[in-house]
Amino acid sequence: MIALALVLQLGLGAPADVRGTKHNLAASSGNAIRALGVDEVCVFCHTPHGAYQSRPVWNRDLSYQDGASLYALYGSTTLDSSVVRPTGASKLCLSCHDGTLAIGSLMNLDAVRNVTVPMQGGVTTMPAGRTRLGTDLRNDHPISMVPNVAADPEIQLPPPGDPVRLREGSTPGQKDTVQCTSCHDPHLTSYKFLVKDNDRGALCLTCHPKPGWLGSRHEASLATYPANGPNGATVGDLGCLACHAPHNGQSPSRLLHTNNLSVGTPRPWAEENVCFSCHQPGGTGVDPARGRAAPDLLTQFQKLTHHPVELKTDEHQPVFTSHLPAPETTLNQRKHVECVDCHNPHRVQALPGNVHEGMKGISLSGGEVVDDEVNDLRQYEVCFRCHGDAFATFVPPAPTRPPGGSNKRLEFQPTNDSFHPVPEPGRNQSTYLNNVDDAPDGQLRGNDWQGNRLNRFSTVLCSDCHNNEATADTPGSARGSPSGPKGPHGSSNARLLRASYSTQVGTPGGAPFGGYSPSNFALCFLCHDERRLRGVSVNRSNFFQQGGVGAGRDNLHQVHLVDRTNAACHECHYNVHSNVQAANTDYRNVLGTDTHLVNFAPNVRPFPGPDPYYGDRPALPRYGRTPGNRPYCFLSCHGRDAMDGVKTVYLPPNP
Amino acid sequence: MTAAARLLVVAALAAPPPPRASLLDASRHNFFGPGAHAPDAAIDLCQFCHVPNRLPGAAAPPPRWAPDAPPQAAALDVRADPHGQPLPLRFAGSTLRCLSCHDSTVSRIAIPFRPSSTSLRGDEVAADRHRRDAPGDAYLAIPDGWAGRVMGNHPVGVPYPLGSGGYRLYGPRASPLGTDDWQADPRLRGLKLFSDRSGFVLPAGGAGVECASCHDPHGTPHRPFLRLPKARSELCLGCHAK
Amino acid sequence: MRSARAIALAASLAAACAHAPARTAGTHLPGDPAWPRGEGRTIAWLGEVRGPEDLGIVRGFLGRVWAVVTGRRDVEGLYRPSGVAVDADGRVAIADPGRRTVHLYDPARREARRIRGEGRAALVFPVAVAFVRGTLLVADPDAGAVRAFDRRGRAVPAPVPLPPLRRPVALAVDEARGRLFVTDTAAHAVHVVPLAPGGEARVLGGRGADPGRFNYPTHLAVDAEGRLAVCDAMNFRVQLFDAALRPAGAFGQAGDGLGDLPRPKGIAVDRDGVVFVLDGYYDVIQAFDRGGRLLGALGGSGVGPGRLWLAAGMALDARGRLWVADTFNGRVQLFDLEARTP
Repeated sequence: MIALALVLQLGLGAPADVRGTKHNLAASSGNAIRALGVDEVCVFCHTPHGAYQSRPVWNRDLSYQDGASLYALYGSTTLDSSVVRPTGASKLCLSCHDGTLAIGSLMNLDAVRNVTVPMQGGVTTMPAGRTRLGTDLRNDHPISMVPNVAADPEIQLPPPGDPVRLREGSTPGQKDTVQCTSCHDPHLTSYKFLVKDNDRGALCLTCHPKPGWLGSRHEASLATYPANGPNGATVGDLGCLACHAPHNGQSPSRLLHTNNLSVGTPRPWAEENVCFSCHQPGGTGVDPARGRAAPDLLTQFQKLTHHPVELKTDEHQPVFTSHLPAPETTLNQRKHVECVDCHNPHRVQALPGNVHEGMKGISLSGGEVVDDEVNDLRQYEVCFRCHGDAFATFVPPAPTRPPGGSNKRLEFQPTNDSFHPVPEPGRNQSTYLNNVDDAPDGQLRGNDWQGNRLNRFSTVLCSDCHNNEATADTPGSARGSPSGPKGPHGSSNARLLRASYSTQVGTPGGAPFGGYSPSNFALCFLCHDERRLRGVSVNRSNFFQQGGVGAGRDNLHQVHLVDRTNAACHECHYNVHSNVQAANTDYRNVLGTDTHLVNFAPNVRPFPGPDPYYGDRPALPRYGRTPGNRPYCFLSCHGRDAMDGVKTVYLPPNP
Repeated sequence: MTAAARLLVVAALAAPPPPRASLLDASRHNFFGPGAHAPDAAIDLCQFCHVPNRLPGAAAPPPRWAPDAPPQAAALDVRADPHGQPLPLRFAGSTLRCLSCHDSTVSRIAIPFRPSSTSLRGDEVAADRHRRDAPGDAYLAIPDGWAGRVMGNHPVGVPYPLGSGGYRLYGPRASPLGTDDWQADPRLRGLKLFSDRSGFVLPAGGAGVECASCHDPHGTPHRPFLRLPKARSELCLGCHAK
Repeated sequence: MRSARAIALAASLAAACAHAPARTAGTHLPGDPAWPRGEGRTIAWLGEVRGPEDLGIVRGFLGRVWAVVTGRRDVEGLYRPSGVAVDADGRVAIADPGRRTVHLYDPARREARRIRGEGRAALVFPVAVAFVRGTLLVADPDAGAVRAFDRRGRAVPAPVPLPPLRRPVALAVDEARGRLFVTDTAAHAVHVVPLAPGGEARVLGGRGADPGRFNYPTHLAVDAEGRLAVCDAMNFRVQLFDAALRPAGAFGQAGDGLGDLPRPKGIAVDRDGVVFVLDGYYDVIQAFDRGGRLLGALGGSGVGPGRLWLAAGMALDARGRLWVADTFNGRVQLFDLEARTP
C-alpha cells in the first residue's frame, strides 16, 4: 500500500515548483543542462551564507561590478525611458544568461568558496541558443528602465495586483523599474517562466495596450502561422509574438523577428521580411473566416516596379507612434519606403476595411491628418506623405522636396483647371468623356459600359491606376477586381501601373508605333471607352472637327491615335494627374475654364512661326482659345510642322 | 564555588533526548573533543552554548568598585538598557549564541562576516542600508541596523509569515508577500520556528526564523548541522514554495 | 550630535599627541556614560570611531566631493571591526574581516590607509593586529598565517620567524622582553616567539582544563611587567601567567552572573594590573584584579554610547585609553580608564 502510494506520488511527474523547471540544475533533474554530482536545486542561484547580495541571497558573482561597458543596451528612436545599465534582479539573471560566467560557477558550495560545479556534457557557460542573450542586449526588450508613461499613450503601468510588476531598480526600495523579473519568475513552471500566459499577447498588452489592436486584421486572423506549424497557432493566437521577439529580435530597434530569412535582400532581418513571414506564398494557413491565406505581398514587391521597401533596412520610424521621427537627412539617396509608411500593423484592417487604419497622412491643404476612431484617412492622404510637397513621413517639419518629380498634392487640388477625379469629381462634366451614358441628373442609366460603375460624379483612387496588374481583369475601380492582392505594392507594368500605358515616343521621320493598338493604352481603357476615341458622330469624344478630313475622321482622337500619327496619349496628356505643373504648355485664354488635362510631352515643340490668332511667337507649345473662344493647338510634333494654321482650330460642339 | 553549586534552569537541558545527545557527543559542537566529556556531568556539553543560569548574587561577591550596586545588577544578563536603545533584534536569542562563537576564533566558520569580505559591492552595501523596518506593521522586515550585520546571509531574527498572509517583504513600500511563496507551516517538515516571547506556542505574526530554524546545533545526520537534507533542496523548499 | 562627538574626540586625540595626558571628563558629552572606579576615578566614555574622519583624518576638498558623488563614504569606514592595536606613535590599526581589510589610521599625519594585502599575502579574514617595532602584524586565521606590513601598508617579511600556525587569532607583544605571543586556537596553544635572534621559542598550553592548558584560547594581553593574560574561551576563564610564563592563576567560569565569563573575547591589563575582560555574549566589560576578584562592569547590549553588540577585541594604549572593537555596531569605542570623577 505504501509502495503503491509512493509509486503514485512519483508518477505524478515533475513537481509543480522550481524542481519541475529547467532552472533545476540538480544532477537528478533530467534536464539537458544539469550538474554532475551536485544534487541540489536552489544552490545554483541562492546560498544561505556568503551571498553576493542579501536579496535574494545570491550565490553567484555578477558579470560586471559597477556599470562598466560590458553590455550593449537596447536603444530605439521610440524609447522614452533611459536604459543606462542593468540593475537589480536583471543583473542576477544576466550572470548566467549573458554567457560570460560558467553556469556552475558558485560563490559557495558546502561551505567552500568560489566553486565551479562541473556540468553534464562539459557545459560551462550558457550554450548558444535562445536562452543565451549574450552581452549584446540591443535586441532584447529593454530592462532596468523606469517606464516613462507620460510620454507615450501606448505605454501603461501594470495595474495593481497584476502578475506583471515593476521591480526595484537603482533606487533602493522603489519598485519602479522594468526588470527581467517583471515578466519572468525564474521559479515558475509555466512556459518560459512567464508570470502570466502570453496567449494572444496578454502579457505584452499589460504594459503595451495598443489601442485598435483588438479587432484589427492581425489580431482577428485565424490563419495558422507558420502555415503548417506543429501547434496550429494562429496569427491571432501568437499575438505580439507573431512579429515581435522580446529576446533576440532580428531587427533590434523594434524587436522584430521573422522566420523568413530566405528573401533575397542583404539584410534578412529587414523589417519588410517580418511582414513577408506571413505575406509570401504559403506564408500562413488559410484563414477559414476569409477563405484564403495571408495575401502574398512578397511576390508583389519582386515585380518590375514596386514601392522599394527593400532598399533600406528599418529606415523609417513608424509614424503611428507618438514620436516625431527624425527628418530624412539625405535627400539625394534613392527613393525608398517601408511597409510602416503606409500601414499600421497594430490596427490595419483588410479591404474593404481601412488598410490605413491608425496611420497619419497629409491632407490636400498640406496639414497632418490622423486616422482615428472618428476620421478615416483618404488614400491619397497617405500617398501625399511622399508624393506631395516633400518626402515626408510626417508633418512638420519636413525637408524641402528636391527638384524633380511632381507634387501630387498640388496636382490634385480641386481648384485646378483639370485633374483626374481623385479628391473630388472632375471638372470636365462632359458626358462624352466618360464611358457611361448618364442622365443629366447624374444617375446611372443601367447601361454602363463594361459595368465599371463610374460616371462623371465618381472619384477614383490612386490605386485605381497604380496597382497590381492582376486587377486589370476588371474595368473601373481596382477594388472591384476579384484578383489581388490589391494595392500599389508592385506591378509588372512600368510606373506601378495597373495596366499597360505606353509612353513610347517616335523619332523624327517615324511614328511612335507601327500601328494603333488599344493594348498600348489598356490602363486608360479600364475607365475610358475606347469607342469614344475612335467613333464618329454620336459615339465620339468631344475632341472633334466638324467636317473632318474623311469619313469618321472628325473624331480627332481617332485622327491622332490611329489615322495620322499613331500618337500616344502621353503626347498630349503628358501629366495625367493634372495640368497644374505643366512645364511645356502655353495656355492662351483657356486657364480658368477647362484645359481637358492637356499638357504636352517634352518632345512636343513650339511652332516656329507666329501664332495666327495673336501674332506672337509662343516659347512653348500652345493650347489656347482663339479670340472667338474656340480652342486650338499651335505647336510642332516631333519637330515636324504638323499644323497649317487652319487645322489647329478645335471646335467644340457646344461652345 | 564549584560547578555543582550552580543551578541549571535551561528547560531544554533538563532531559536531553538520548539520540540527540549522542549526535552532539560526536559533533564538532562537543568542545571537549569528540566523545570527551566534562568530569562534571551536570553541565557537560551544554554549557558551551547554553550559559548556565546562576541565581543572581548567590555566589558572586559584589563588585569592589560599586559595592552598593542593586542586587539585580549581580546578573550579567542586564541586557535592557533603561536609557539606551535596545538591540534591534526580535528573535535573536539563539542566534546570538551562534554568532558569539562563529567569528573565526573559537569557530573556524564566521558566517555573518564572510559575505561582504569578497563580494558585496559598495552599491549593495548602500542598498542594504536603506532597507528599513516599519515598527508595528506586519512586514517581514529586517530590523533597523540588523540588515547590515547579516548582509549576504539568509535573514535571521525575522518573522515568518506563519498563519498570516499580511506580510510584506523588507519594508513598507514593498509588495505584499504572496502566501503562495511560503509553506504554511515549515515545522511540519521538520524545521523550527522561534517565538519572540520565548514560549513554545507560536502566535501568528510571532514566529521567527533563526539560525536554528535550519540548523540543529545538537547534531543531525545532515552536514552541516542541517535539519533537512540539501539533496534536491529539500531544506530550502521546507519554507519556500518556489 | 555625532559630529560634535567626532570633533571632541579629534580634539582629545590632538591633545594626547601633545604628550599632555588627556584626563578628559570634559571631552564627552553630558549624559554619556561613566562608571565609578573608586578613589575618585571613573571610566569615561570618550567616543566612537566609525571611520578616519572620527580621528580628525579629513579628506581634502576633492576627496570629499568624490565621496559625495560616489556615495562611497561607507566603504572607507569600519564595517565589522574585530581587533584593534595602537602603537607608541598613536597609529591605530583596526582589523575588519568584514572588509578583508586592516584600516590603518595615523591621526598625527592625517593619513588613512586600507591594507588588504596582495597576491598570496592577501588578507582573507584579519581578526587581530599588533605593532612590533613599527611593523604591523595581522593575524589571519582563515589564511592560517600572520602577515606583516610596513608603515606604508606594503607586505613585508615577518620581522621574526613564525612557527607553523593553524588558526592564529590573537597577537600580543612584549617589546621589553622581546616576546611576541600568538594564539593558535585550533592547536589550543599560545606560541611565544622571541623577537631577538637566539631567543627561546616556547609553546604554552595544550588542550585541557588544568592550569596552563587551554581549550580554544583566543585573545591575549601582556602587561608592563611582562605578565600574560589569555582568554581561555571554552574553559570560560582567563588564565594568567607570570613574567617567566608560568601559570599564575585563573578566574571565571561559565554562567550568567557578575564575574562569570561565558564568552571571553577580548582582554587588556592596565597599568594598575586591572584585567579588563570583554564578554562577547553578554556584551559587558568586566574588571578583575589579579586575584580574580570582580571590581566592576561596564557596557551591556545595545547600540548607544558605551553599549556593545557582539564585540570582540580590545587594546589599551599608552595613555590609559581602552579601544574596544564593537563588531556588530561597526565601530570602535573609546573609554578613558583613568578619568577623574567630575
